[in-house]
Amino acid sequence: MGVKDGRSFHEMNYESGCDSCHDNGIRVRPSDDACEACHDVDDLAEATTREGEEALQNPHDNLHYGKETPCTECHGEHEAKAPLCSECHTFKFDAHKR
Amino acid sequence: MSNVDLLGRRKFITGLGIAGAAAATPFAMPALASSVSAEGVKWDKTIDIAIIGSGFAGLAAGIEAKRQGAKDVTIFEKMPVFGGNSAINGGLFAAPGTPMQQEKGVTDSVETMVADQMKSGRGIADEGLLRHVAEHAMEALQMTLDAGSVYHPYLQQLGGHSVPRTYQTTVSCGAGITQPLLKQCRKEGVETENRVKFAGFVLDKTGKVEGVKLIKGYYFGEEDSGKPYYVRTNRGVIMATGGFAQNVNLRMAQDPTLTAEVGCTNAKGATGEGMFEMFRLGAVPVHMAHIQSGPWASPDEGGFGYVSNYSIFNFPHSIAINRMTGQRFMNEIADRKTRADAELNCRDGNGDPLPPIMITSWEHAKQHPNAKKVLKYGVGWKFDTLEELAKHFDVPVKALKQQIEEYNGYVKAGVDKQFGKNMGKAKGKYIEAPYGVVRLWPKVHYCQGGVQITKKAEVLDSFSGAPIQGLYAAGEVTGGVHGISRLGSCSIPECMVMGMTAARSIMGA
Repeated sequence: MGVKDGRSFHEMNYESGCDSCHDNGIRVRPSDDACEACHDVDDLAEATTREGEEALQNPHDNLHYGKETPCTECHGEHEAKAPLCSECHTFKFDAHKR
Repeated sequence: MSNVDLLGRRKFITGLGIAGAAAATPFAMPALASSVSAEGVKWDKTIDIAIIGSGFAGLAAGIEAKRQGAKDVTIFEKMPVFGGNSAINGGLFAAPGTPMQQEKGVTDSVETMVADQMKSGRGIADEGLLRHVAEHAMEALQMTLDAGSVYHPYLQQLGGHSVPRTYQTTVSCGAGITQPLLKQCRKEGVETENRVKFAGFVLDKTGKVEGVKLIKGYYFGEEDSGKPYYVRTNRGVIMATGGFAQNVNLRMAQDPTLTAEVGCTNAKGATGEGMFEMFRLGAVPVHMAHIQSGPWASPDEGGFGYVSNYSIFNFPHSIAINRMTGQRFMNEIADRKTRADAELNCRDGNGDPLPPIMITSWEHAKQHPNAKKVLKYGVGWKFDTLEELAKHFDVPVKALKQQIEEYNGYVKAGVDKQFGKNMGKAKGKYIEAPYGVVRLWPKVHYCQGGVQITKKAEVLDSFSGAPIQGLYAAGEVTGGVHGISRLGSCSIPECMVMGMTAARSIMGA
């Protein structure tokens, strides 16, 4: 918690203060749509499109939850996270870092 | 189940890799909740109906409540995502007298479906509830079709069913139902809130449920997260919180063999707090020790995964082989309990688990959408010859060859002399090269136990025998419907029909 070792492209958020992400107060997790201030779910879904039989494995638009999986289920800013899918599936997301 | 060697399981799980690692995390008991008197409670919100849980039962209840004229209906979901265990289940839906049965010339009826379930229930299922569900199953199926669910153009005949009566979503998953129903809920004006945990009932002076205490901003697994949130309900509360298969302490209290090392197909949120709270309020616990393991699961992946549906589809025209003997060891389409128990008996010379294999002609296996996937994700294998197959799984090849010849004779004759399997669905489907193979090992899948309900989805009070006012329950959180062993594809109709029933009861329809 609170360790400033997030993503390099989030530097500007660190510079402009914790509350630029932590919209519910500093010691509380940000709301599920906090990331959407900068990131667009439709754009993300397009960027991670998968083809054919893998189409529904698009993490940003998937079989089980569509486009509604909260970002922090798979991504952590101050902690490393694994994709939610890996709880049941063995398929790979090579571009997923944390 | 009592002959399971836990130490053996422990050794076996260490070799499981990802699936075992996920299953071996012991689950902390959820923080205790408690019901309180409404006196002095400051309500944050007043609505008509609060629905706790967003699986099949909760979603169907939401849609039906709006259609019956309820004004403010909110579905509260504990987890960050909607759909509960329903969103990751197999999407298999049994109903009698459906259009597809008519089209395929299948003769079926409410009575036949109930009779099949009574048999699997081994004499202690609730015939009245089963009949109520079967009578309204088509109505529930129609609700999904109207919402946009799409099903395979064929019927399946699952273990214990006397006729093919099971529809399955084209995505082979319950999400093919929960996603359209969730959209439909919102379209009809049902509010949905995630990360809101149920924490107890609020009662008026007469003991009627007047509302609920919730925890808003709850993060699963962080029991101190979130803030209290009191919601008053003008009409009532529908508990649709699902089973407790993920609550290791509770399931072991009922059945000590179901340790943390036994896998589980369920969503993480299936921990049972809602059910506990109803017991505290006076609900009657029914059949808590009857916890079902799925005999079609694979030890090579987590949860329900890809293999489960692949196996369910292929069992009728496949053989299950004990790797020690090279022989079949069960009727591949017996009910779930019969098969799970038979698989648990497949052990090596030291008595350690030796997951049996299911062998299918690839020609038939490939008809299932998951066939390619099980190969691709390393949870299934394809072999051109029996020798290669036997070598890979260390099976005595001579015995296996003999067994396959013998079984193919049963396919030809239409009669299984070994285990009395119904060979109707195996007609003309010989076991021939190339072969598709998966490994089998049961996973905890479904809790037959829960709170006692009436055919109106009312929850009965253990002291008075009368319904607890303002409280309704539907789906896996209820108990006694299916008896000892639920038949596959009978949960979705039950959840949806009882969810709809709860909404109708609340609205006086």
